[in-house]
Amino acid sequence: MRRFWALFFLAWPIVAIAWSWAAPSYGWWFYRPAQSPLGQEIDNLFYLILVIVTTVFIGTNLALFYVLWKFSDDGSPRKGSFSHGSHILEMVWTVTPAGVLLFISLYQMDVWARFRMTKNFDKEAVAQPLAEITARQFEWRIRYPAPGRKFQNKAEIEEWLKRPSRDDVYTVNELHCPANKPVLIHLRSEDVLHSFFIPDLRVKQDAVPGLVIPVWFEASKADHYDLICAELCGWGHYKMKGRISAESDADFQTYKRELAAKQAFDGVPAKTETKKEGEGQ
Amino acid sequence: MRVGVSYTVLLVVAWGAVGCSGPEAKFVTSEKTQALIPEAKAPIEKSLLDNFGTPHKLVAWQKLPVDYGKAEAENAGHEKAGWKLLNGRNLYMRHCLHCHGVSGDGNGPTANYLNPRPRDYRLGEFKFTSTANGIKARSDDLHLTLVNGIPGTSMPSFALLKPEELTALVDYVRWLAMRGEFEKKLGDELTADYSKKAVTDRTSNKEKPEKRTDIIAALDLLLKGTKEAPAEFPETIKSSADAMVAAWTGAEDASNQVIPAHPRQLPSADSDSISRGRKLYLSTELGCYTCHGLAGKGDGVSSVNYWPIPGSSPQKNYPERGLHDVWGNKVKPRNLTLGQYRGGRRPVDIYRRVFAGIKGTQMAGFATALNNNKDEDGKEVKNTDGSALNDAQVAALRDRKIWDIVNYVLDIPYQDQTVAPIMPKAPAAAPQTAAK
Repeated sequence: MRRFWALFFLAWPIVAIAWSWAAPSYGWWFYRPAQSPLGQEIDNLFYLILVIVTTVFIGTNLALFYVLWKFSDDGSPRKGSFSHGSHILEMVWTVTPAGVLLFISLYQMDVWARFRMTKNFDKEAVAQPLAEITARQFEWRIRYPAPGRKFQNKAEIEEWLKRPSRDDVYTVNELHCPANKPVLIHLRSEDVLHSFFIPDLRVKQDAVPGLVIPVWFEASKADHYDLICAELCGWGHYKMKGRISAESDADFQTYKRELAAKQAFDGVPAKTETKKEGEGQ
Repeated sequence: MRVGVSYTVLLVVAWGAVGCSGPEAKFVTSEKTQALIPEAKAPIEKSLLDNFGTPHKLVAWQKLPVDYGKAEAENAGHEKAGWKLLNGRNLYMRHCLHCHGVSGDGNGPTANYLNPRPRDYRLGEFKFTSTANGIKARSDDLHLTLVNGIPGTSMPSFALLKPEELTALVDYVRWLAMRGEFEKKLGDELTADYSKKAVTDRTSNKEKPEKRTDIIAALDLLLKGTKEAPAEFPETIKSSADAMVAAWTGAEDASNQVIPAHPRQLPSADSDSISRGRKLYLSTELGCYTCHGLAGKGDGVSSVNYWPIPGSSPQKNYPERGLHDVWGNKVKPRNLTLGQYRGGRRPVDIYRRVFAGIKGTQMAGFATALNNNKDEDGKEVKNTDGSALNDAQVAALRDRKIWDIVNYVLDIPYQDQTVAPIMPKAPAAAPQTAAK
């Protein structure tokens, strides 16, 4: 019994580390690798922090084990000594973590700035925004500029965000975008806080009522990605899912033209063939 | 220590007794059925139970035009007939129930927090359809509503459900609507004579009081009949179901869908279209502005008037100002300046709203009102040789007028709202303010 607790408290960190080590290869509680260039850098930051905390975790648990083992009650009438109030110890365990945190905060600034600071955004993506996305309970309403529309300047984009244009194309929950290049959306909320979250691309941005927030992302390959709401926004939060379809530029243009054609449908069947009614609205 | 153990045991027992399930799912009867005397309520409940079952044990009534799912030996999960109805129910319970309720009565747990309230299917009516006036909704219409949601309301889009999930849901919602409508039809037969109020009135009638036993005997005769005279009620059940089946089947018929015969001319190709549409919008014959307002802000005079409750005798007004739909909910005429179109923003959707109206609301269909040889100024249109227009020409003129209105309505969000709208000059004989 004397050494039992020491071994007991050693066993759990070993289980935890073994489990965490195995998790990625078995797909337990783990994302698939980031599908965007910036996402990969965010992953690298994540791994860096993982290494740091794992080292600290192993160190503290070994120390705990050592103390438990060495000083467990063996019946001998030893007198305890107390380190409380040791100036050196206080300094060491304050300055060391502070140094580590300072390092992390400086090291990640570049990635943060590229993701969040508008002046670092891709110029082309900013000049030709992909869409305006309005989150609302419980869906993502999407408004694209007309197919082929090129914004001339910033003022035109601001005007477009203020008032819809006649030829805008509307859809809901299914955002298409070109793959392999940065795209920018303008995010708003119609009612409460929502959060625009594409886990595979490591993009997350709150949608705030009253604000129009530019968000950029880049999908590395043509694929479907889940878009989910990451802010508990009401009872239907769980069903607020969308889908990002990244595709080639040509496919995206075709998609947008087809969507515009569906939206302009006047119900008159084409003469030669019976047209199936579109679902775009 | 012992206290702790006994508390833990108590907690586990209590948890086991309470469980973690919610209230049991069951179909509830409508207020109308509940207002009947027990003897009259029982046959309706029995008929509903026989033909529709309970949420846990659905009955696929083969008479109804619903795709319940045929048994398919090959397809796992589809071996049993009726699999589609079960799938529909399960999906409905997950996605729809909390607003629309187990019985489709629009009274789920979250319903009270929503404005507008969720649809109560039990009248068998849906607002946004592609069918003509008085015709039921098509499956396609419900499908479109599921995919697009209804902007401006709490109905979200379910575009990302799988196609087979959507069709299962559409069929389950139609089935619930039919169940509710069937209950209503049976209730309508008995309400006049056998509601609690009617029976009290009959027994306490000062001039000619009836005995309760006599009333029950008459009801019994209606329900069970005698050896000589067959009972009427089973016949009522059959005819109600037949009428309902015919109505829902008919809606799927292509001939009942509103399809414009003539294509829309874009305002870019027909520059006068918007101004013609404006004249029609502001005309006293159509009176769009009486509800939607002169500038289209949904603030017309009808939206602030008191309106009578239909079927109330003596006639009573709704306590609240404004228009009400057949569900008794207050509705606002659409604010057309927002560019938000609940039934869809495609030109054909708005064409259908103008042509056939919005079911269950005061938004009437204008197909008949527009079916004449008058133009937007109310002047008669004639052929160049002076002859009157034939029917085909009148129909073409009607389509043009509807497209003019559509073009105008679609243009409203982009008009300068700071300019006060001006009524067109009234014709010589000033018409009274029309209340449509």
